[in-house]
Amino acid sequence: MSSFKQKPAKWMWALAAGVIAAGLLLALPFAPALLRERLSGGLVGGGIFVLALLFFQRERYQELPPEERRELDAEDGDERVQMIRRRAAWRCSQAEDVALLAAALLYAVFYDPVLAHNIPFWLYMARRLAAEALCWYFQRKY
Amino acid sequence: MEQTTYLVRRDDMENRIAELRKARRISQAELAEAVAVTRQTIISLESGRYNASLLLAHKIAKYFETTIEDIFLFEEESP
Repeated sequence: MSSFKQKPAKWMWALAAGVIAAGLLLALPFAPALLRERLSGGLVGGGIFVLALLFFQRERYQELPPEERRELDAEDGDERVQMIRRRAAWRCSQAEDVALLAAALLYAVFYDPVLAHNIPFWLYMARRLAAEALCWYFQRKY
Repeated sequence: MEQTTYLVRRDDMENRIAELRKARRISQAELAEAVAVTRQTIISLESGRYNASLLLAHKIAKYFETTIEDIFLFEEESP
């Protein structure tokens, strides 16, 4: 898997730092007690874990030979790689649809037959609506 | 001396990338760097597993100082 060898993007560092900062802010006395107790530690810990992973990833990248580094750097702008990622995303999306519908069916059969209570079904509907809205947007854009 | 041709076909499209590259003694990595793609993309193009976009086809044609039609041939145009 080449993505774990790639040089971490700036936004990843910013995201990890932001999560840690949010955790530290929530630890301050003016933050609501519920958030301080339930979120602060998790955010700081999670952020530090992600930061450590990013350092590890950067070290791995820097140890690579220059040709391999160039190859990895070119991946993000490579149309074939993007096509592969789009296809993978599409297949995953289809698999998620099937999984959600199967879950909705099982929920209705074994747990609660009322459609209004069927959480997997409404998740499926929300996903479909979001997909249709994005299609509409992209058809206008292109 | 017998001339070797390197026509690669995918569906109804063929390309002469390998032929032109070898004639100019350019490596796949050099071509990949020049047109800003990965070496794997050049390998896939040369083996006919992937068809280039119009933009990439244009970049490749420009790199070889020729036309897109000279490199990428539709079946009915191929010899």
